[in-house]
Amino acid sequence: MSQAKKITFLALLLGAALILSYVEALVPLGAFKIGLPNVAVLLICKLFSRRMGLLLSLARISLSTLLFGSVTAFAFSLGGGILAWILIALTLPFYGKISFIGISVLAAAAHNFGQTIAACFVFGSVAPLAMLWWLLLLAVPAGILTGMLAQIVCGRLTHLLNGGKNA
Amino acid sequence: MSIFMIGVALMKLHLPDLLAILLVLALAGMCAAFVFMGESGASVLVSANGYTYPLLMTDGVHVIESAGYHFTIEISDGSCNVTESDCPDALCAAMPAIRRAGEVIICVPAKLSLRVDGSEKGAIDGVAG
Repeated sequence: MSQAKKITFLALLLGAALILSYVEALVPLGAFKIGLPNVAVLLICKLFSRRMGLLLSLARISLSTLLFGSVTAFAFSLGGGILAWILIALTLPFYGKISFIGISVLAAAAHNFGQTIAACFVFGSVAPLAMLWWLLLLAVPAGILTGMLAQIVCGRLTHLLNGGKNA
Repeated sequence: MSIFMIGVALMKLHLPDLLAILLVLALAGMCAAFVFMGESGASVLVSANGYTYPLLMTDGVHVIESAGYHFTIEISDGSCNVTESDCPDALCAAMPAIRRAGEVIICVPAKLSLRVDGSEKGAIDGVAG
């Protein structure tokens, strides 16, 4: 793939991730997010490299904070985003044995765990840990949803990357 | 078409996927057990504007201000609930009432937290001190 095509693709997916951040901000779950942009991170990790995935995640978090976030939201996103990426990076080599759904569920759980840890730092207490149970519970449907989304989009993107015309 | 796609996506679930889901559910269960095993609390520790103080679990309505937002907190029958909030998220008002030691209600924008304190003795000491 040419360098220009690669850059264009990464930029497009960064745009998609930003839109997903915005959509996610509309879901009334407070500062706790279900991790929709992780679909884009997962796809970049799969189609390009894991390093690029981290880069996209960090760029997405910085941009979304500038556009519609606050400092606390930044701490939350950063904690969730980095932990989710670590889980994706660790489980992706086993893709084939484990599908996008399993990876996404783990990533969503890590995302919520990271946010809770960030909340502990923001509050300066361990009180937010008491909410972890329903955040982890929420991570299962959220992860299944994002995993299915990633699975559907991945097939089409692969087609597009290989020069398909009707994708 | 899209329902068909979702069906196909679901069919691709492998054993490790189910294990991953079970692992997360088990972790959630453990966290829940840890929170719900606590005995019912005698007081609520309120953290607002950087200060922490106890509210006894006696029936009543309190209005608390933190970081410019206002919260109506209702205590009745040994449980504490946020009934009204003017913060943009209003997530805390949607959270379930808390009654067991360790349970929390948190408002992130206002940096307000309510935590049920388990020890009856400690709570009374807090008021006296």
